Amino acid sequence: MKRRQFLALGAGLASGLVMPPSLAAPSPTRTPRILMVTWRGETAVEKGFRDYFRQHKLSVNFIPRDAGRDPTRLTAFLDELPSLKPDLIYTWGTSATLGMVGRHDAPKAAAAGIPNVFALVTDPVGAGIMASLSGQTREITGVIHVAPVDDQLAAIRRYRPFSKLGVLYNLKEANSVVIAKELRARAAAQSFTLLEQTFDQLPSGQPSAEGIAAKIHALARGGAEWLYIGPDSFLFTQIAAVAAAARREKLPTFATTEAVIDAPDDVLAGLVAPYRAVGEFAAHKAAQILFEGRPAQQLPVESLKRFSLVVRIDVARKTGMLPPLEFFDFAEMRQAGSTS
Amino acid sequence: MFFLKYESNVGGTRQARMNFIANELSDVIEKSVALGISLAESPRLEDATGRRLEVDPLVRRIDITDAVGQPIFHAARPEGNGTLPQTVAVTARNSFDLPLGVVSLTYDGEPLQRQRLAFSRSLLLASAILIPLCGILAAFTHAIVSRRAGAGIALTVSVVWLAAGIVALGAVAHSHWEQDLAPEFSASAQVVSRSAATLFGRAAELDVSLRDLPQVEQFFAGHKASHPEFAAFLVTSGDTIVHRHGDVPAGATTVAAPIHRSVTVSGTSIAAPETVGEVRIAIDPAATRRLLREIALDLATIIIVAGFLAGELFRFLLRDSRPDDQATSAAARELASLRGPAFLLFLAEDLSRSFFPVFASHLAPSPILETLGIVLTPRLLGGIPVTAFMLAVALAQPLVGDLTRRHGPRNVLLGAILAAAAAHALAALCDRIDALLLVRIVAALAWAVAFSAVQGAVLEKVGREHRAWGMAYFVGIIMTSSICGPSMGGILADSLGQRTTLTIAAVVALLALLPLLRAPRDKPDAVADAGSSAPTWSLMGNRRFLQLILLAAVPAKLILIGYYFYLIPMFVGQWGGSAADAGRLQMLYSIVMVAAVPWFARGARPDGHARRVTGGLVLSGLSGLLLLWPNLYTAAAMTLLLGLGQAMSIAAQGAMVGDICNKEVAASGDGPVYGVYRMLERGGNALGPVVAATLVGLAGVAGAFAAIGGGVAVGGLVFGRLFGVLRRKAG
Repeated sequence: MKRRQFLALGAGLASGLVMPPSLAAPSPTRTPRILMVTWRGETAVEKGFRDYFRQHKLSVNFIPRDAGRDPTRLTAFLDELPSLKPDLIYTWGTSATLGMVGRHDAPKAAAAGIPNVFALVTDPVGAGIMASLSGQTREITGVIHVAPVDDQLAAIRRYRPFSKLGVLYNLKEANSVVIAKELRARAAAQSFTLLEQTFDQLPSGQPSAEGIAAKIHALARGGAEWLYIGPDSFLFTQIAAVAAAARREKLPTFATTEAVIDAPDDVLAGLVAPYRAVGEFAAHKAAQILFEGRPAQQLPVESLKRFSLVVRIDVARKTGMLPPLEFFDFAEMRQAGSTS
Repeated sequence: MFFLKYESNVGGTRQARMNFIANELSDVIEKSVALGISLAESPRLEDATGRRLEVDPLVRRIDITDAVGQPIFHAARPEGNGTLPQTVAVTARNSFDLPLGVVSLTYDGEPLQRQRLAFSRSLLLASAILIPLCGILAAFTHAIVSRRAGAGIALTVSVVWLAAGIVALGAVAHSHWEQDLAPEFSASAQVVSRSAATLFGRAAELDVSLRDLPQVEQFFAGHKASHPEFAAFLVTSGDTIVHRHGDVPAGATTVAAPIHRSVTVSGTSIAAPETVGEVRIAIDPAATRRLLREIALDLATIIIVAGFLAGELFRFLLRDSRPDDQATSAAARELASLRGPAFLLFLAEDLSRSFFPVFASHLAPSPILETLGIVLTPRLLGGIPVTAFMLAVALAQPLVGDLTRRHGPRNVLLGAILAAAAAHALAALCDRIDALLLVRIVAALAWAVAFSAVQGAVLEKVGREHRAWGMAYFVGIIMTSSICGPSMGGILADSLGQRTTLTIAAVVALLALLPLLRAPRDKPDAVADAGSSAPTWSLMGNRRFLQLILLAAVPAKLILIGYYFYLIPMFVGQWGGSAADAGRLQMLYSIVMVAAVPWFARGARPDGHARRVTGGLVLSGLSGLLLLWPNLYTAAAMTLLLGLGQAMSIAAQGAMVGDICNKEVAASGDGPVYGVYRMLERGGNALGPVVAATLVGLAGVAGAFAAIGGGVAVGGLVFGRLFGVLRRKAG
């Protein structure tokens, strides 16, 4: 704590006397240490995160830790905190963030006092990480990676207009429930019909992968002209089955996260935040905390302002659902396993 | 004017071609941002920029900057920007009209400069030969013919030589125009086809079958809307047409752009372009014919305007002497010294008529009006200065009516010239609508004062017997200015800009001082003190005067303004014509007036005025009935008859005022009486558009023509009955 306060004080004094805060030099005492906790290995987000510091010539020690989708490993990382003494904890995704800092009403004591910057958390309020996006007291901030719903719907319409939109999601994921609610509101305002299907629940309360094909079939039979694939973690784990079922039903699929569009499965298009840009933005916030001495709770949780329209041209060719000609001017055309 | 028009047409078309490319990229930016796509990180935008560089060999460099001017992308040819780089810039905007970025396209202007120089050389050489030749022939002819047939005919023959010279110059200009402008259509089609081919090529590179691409029809429909001269679009894959939009008309010129995709040469890592199809665009031959017709009509307009300007110059140099008619000759000689300054002052005002509403609509609104919660649409912004001008002219008439009598026409014109020049110069500097309104009111007062000065001089110098001739002389100045001014002003504004043209108008107004120097000074002892100079409202008790106003003067102005400024442009727009077509019909009216007013006024006697007014009103009214069979020919016939009807009645109307109001003239003088007359007459100006608009809503454009025409004709017949024209002779 003393180290961090000293770093913040030193940075504040130096910046106040010499330069504007945004141009303040790194703390003189020691190189800051960032604990990077990922959920399923390093992604382009982390690459962007690290590159930001390198490009801005900010000297930082990165301490990588990967949970490998195992929440028990997160407990071990918490136990390491006294010895690692990080100045900041970076977390990838909702699960890693909850595992390291806990809910706002049940914070992890081990991480108390260490600022946290998260990335790729769709709905930090819905997930319980924060009570609200503003005015909260925890030393937490981060980057939301999903494009506004209106932009997503505009992109879908531009590709191929629709009057019925299908969505399949996990009722247990707060962010998915929120997205579905937003889609319902847009359906009323924009005169389209939203057809909804949710994953079945196991007795344990966890979502079930059973019946995916039947649910997709039900959406298609209802007249859905697109299948919306939201930032639903469970759906992502079942993307192969979902995409295959949609392909059988000749239902084009629209993704909202880069991970889905980059998966080897047949997802047609998406309006996504480039993971690299998400990482850079998260690093920007981390740099403000570490080098400008700004409290994390004063930095707003934000989404990127600009996204990429991606079309999987291999899927488009296979399914015959080619994009309009104008898309070849501004959409990214990717093929399975590579960018265009 | 030939050169400026050439620059506007050929230079403008070339620039439009470059603007198309810049606009395409701007469109990509706007669509991308609308979908939340990152510009700075978009490899697609960089790729689109690079591809657009190749669609036209003249394009040298394309730069894209963001909203704050930071560079995002650029693409440039290795050979540099050429010897004479020109730049067009297009701002991409979001749905709130906020700038997103700027696309700047630099192209080689050297080929156009070569064309300009060739055109200028031809024109100068032709001028160097034709001007002295025609001048010598005119002088020689004048000397011979004047001895045998009189100075009037000699003048006419001299003008014919001058007109022949101008026509010959026009022929030289036409040949260059046709040679340089017609290929621009093909060049534009090449740009559009190459640009489309790059997109198809992109799809082909991603192994997308050209045949399977969706919404290609909509894509080409968008291009067709921007380029109506393109009759059909085709995409071929091999020898097969895979997409088609429109039909290829017989005799159409077709341009084609290959669709390339890169393939790796077998056994190497070298990429080579493979042609997989073509984008073809068929140019409508009717569009080419329309273009050549427009060129010919533009040239004819310039020739006509030059002819009228030359006529005014001859009048000024020869002091308008007409020894054939002794009675009017003396008056013409006296008025000639005022004709030149008045013509230039009116011309200065007419220069801006063709573009003034557009100029005004782009000015900033008034903070005062906004504070009062009054929001003006661009259409209102454009219309208010015009309305303010007309209103100020109308209201000023009674007030300035006596100025000439008190101060003399030369002094009054001097003041009007200086005020008008200041008003035009200030208008060029205005950036707010309230400032422009004030300036326009000054310009209107100057115009009204000049109008009153010349009218007053006519009334003073021309006796009752020849008053109709005097009114015709006076109307001729205004009509000649209305022929020359809008056309010249339109060409100047297209080439040099609207503010520069307003500055030129100020200079033209000041030039009026030069011929004014030849005018004899106003002699103080010859300036009569008319007693009261206040408008004489006792005219409202003069029954004959009211009949003249309500049955003749107001209807004549109503039908003129209603047809000329409202219905003709609306009819032409409905028929599919352009603003230029409407302008030509309006010019036809003015030409008929200039030619016919003096002819009808010649030999007009006071006892025949009422007959001419009646005949003119009925003819004007019947002209509107022709539009019950709406087409271009009936519209031209209507314009011709309207001009003849107005020419027949307008001078006689003005002459009748002095006869009908002889008591009021004796009491107050000509000026105040004619001031009230003109003010009330201009009530027809204000009513014209309102009545026309109302009738269009009720009966359509043709119905409005017929209704107004019928009303005016009936009014004319009633006038004739009341003034004894239509009474059966006793016995």
